[in-house]
Amino acid sequence: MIEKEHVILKDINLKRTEPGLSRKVIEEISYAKSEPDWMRELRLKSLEYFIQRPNPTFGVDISKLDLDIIVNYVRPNSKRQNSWEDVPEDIRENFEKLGIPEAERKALAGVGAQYDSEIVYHNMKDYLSKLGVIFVDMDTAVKEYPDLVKKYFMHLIPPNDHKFAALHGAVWSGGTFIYVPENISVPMPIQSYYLMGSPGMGQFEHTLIIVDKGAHFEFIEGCSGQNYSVSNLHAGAVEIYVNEGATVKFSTIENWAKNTYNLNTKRASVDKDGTILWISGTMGSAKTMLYPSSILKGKGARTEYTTIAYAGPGQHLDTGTKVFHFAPYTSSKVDSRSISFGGGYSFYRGLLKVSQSAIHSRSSVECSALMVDDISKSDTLPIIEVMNNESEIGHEAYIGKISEDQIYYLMSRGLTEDDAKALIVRGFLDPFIKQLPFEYAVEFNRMINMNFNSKIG
Amino acid sequence: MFTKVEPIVKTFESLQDYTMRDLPDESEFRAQQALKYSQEKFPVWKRLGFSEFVKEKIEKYNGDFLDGKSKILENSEKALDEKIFRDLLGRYFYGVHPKFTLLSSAFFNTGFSSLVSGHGDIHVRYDLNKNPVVIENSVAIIENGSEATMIRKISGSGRLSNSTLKFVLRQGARLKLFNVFIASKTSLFVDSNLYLLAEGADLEIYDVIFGAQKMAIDRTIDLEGINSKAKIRSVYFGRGKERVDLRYSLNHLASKTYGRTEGNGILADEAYSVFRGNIDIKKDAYEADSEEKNAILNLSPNSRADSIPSLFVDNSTVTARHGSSVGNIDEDKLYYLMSRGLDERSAIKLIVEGIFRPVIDEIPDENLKKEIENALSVRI
Repeated sequence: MIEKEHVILKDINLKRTEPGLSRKVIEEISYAKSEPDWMRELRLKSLEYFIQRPNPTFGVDISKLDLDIIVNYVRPNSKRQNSWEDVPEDIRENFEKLGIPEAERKALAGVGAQYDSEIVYHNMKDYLSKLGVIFVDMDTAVKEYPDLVKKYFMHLIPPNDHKFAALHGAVWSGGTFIYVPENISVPMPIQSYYLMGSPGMGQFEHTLIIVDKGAHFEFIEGCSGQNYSVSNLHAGAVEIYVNEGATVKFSTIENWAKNTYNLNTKRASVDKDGTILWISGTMGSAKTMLYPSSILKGKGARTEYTTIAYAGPGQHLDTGTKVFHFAPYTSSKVDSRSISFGGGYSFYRGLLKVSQSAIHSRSSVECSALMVDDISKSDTLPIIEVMNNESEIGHEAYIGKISEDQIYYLMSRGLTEDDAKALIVRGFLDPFIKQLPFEYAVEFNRMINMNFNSKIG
Repeated sequence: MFTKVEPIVKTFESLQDYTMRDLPDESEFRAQQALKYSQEKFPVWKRLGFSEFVKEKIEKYNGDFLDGKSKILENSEKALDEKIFRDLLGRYFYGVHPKFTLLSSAFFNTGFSSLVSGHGDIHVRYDLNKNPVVIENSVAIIENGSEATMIRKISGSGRLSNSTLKFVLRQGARLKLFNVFIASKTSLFVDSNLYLLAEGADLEIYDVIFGAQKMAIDRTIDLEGINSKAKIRSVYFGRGKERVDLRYSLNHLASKTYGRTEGNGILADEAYSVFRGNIDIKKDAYEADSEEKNAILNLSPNSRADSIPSLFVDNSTVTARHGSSVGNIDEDKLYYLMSRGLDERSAIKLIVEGIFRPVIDEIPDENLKKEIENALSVRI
C-alpha cells in the first residue's frame, strides 16, 4: 500500500464523463447514479458556488492544475460486490498489487474498496448489522437512508465553504456512510481503501460518519494511486459527528501518487464529553492541502491529533490542524511532526480558536520538524486566538536538524551513516507509527529504509 | 522550487488622504516620496479593526525633542542636506505597510538623524499633548566597533503618531535601544523600525508599550553579517478598548546569526493584542540559532489574545523554536500571596510588576523608570 512506487496497474474497462465541469457533466453523474432530485440540486448549487469562489489565497501553488481537463467521474465497469472473489479480476489484481493483504482484511470489522469513482467491493461482519451498525457506500446511503443523509450530508462542510468543497459537492462520488447506534462499541476498525487507477481523473469520495451517544468506533482509510505524467486530483470530504460521550478514532494513511493534487477537507463536530482522535499520515501526492478540523461544541469535548507529513523530492505538503473550542472544559492536544528531505517542502499551518464561552479549556499544541538535508524546507505557522481569561493555552514548535552527535554515536556503534539517519527518522516519527495497524507500520518502516538507503529495521 | 501562496494584503482608498499640497516645502526629496506615497493604498487591518483613515493636519513640530551626544545628531529635516542621511531617510522599507513608511518619508514633521562613532547616548521624546500629530522619519548609523544607547519615548494624548526608523549597525557595532510608548488615548499609533546588522553587530531592543487606541508596530531585523546578534524584549499592557498588533521579524541571512525575541503581554478590560513573532532562516544562514517566546496574561473575560508565531527555515543546520502561552493568573500563586497577607489587588499588582520588572531594571534613566512604574500602577 505504501511502497508502491513501481507498481503499474492493469488497464481496465471504464466509463467516464467528458473532461471538465459543466451542468451537463453533473446531470450525467446524477443520472448514472439515479439520484433523488434533492441530491441533484445540491450538486448543481455546488457548481454555482464553485464558479463563484476564488482559489484559496494560501498554501500550495495550484496554478498548473487545469480543472478543464480533469475527468471528474470514472466508473469501473463492475457492480458493487460483497465478496472479494466476485470483484473483476483486473481490479482485484490492482488492489492486490498495492499490497492490501488478505490477512489484514480479516482483522477488520468491515472493508470498502473504491476504484476511481465507485465502490467496487463492500463487506461487513454479520454481527455488526445485527447490532444496528450501518456501513454502506455513500451512494447506497442516499437511497436507503435519505433522512439521515439529508440531515448530515455537507452540513459540517457546506458546499460554499471553499472552492474545493464546492467542487466536491458538485461531483462527489463513492465513499462511505457509517452509523453506529447508541452505546455500541465496534470491536475492530472498519477500513476503506481508495484507489485512483486512471490518468487525469479526479476522485471525490465522501465519508460520512455518525456515532451516536456513548458509542465507540474506529475507522481507517488508505489512499493510493498510480503515478501518471498528467495531474490527478483528489478532493474528498470527511464529516464526522461525534455525539455525547462517544469516541471516534479516525486514521488516514495517505499515499497518493506523486502526480496528485490532494485538496481534501475533514471535519468533526464533537458533543458533550465526546472524543475525536485523528491519526494522520501524509506521505504521498505532489501537493497537499489538508487541515482536519475539530469543532468542540459540547462541554468537556476533547480532540487529539497525532499527525505526520513526510515530504520527499518534488513534494509540497501544506498540512495542519484546526481546533475550535466553543464550550467550557474542552481540551485539545496536537502532536504534529514533519520530515522534509531530498528537496521536499513541508508546511505546518495551525489554527486554534478559544471562544469567550470556552472557559476552563486547555490546549497544548506541539509541532516539530526534522530537516534531513540542505535542499529541503520546513515552515510553521500556527495562529492562536484566545478570547477568555480562564483557559490554559500552550504552543511550542521546533525545527531542527539531525544532530551530528547522534549520528556519530550511532556510527561508533557500527551503523552506517544511512542506517543512523533512518533510525533517527523512525524514532522521530514513532508516536505516529505506534498508532498504525501492524501491516502499515511494517510498510512504513520499509519506506523509510528505502528513502534513506538503509538496510536495517 | 516551490511557490508558497500567500494572502494578498487587502487595501482601501481613503477619501481623506495627504497629497502634494500637504507637503511643508517644495523639496525634491519630499516630492519624490509623496509621489510614491500617492501610489499606495491603505492596508485593511482586520484584527486591528482599521479600515478607514482620518486625515489629521500635520503641523510643524513644536518644542525640543532631542538631546544627547554622538558624532552627528541633528533634526532629519536638516540632515537631508547630507547624502548619507538622505539616502537612508528615503530608503524603501515595508514596515507595517509601505503606505505608513512612505507617509513618514514624505510628510515627516520630526525625526532625528545620527552618526555614532565611539560612544553615543541619544534621548528622544515626543509629546503628543503638544503635538497631536507626530510624523517621524529617523535614522541612525553606528560605525564599526562603536556603541550607542538610545531612549525614545512617545507619550501623551494625540491623534496620530506615525514613525519610521532605520538603524544601520556596522561591523561590531552595538546598540541598546529603549522604546517607551505611553499614549493610551492616541487614536492611531504606528511604528516601523528597520535594523540592518553587519558582521558581529549586537542589537538589544526593549519595547515598553502602554497602548494607544490602535497600535501597529513592526520591528524588522535583518541579520546580514556573520555572527550578528539581536535580542528583543517586549512588554505591553492593554486595557479599555485598546488594540495592539505587534510584529517582530528576525531575518537570518548569514551564518552563525543569533536571535531571541521575548514578548510578555497583559490584557485587561476589552483589550486585544496580536503578537506575531517571525523567524525566517535563509539558505546561507548556516548554524543560525533563533528562538521566540510569547506569554500573555488575560486578566479579563472580555480580553482577547492572538498569537501568530511563524518559523520559515531553508537551512538544515539551524536551531529554531517558538513557544506561546496564554493564560490567566495562576490561582496557586495568587492564593500564596494572599495567604501572606496581601489583598487580591495587591497580589495581582505584584505578579504584573514581576513581568515588567526585568525590563524596567534595564532602563538607564531614573525619571523614565518612575514614569513607567506610574503608568503601570495606574493600569492595575
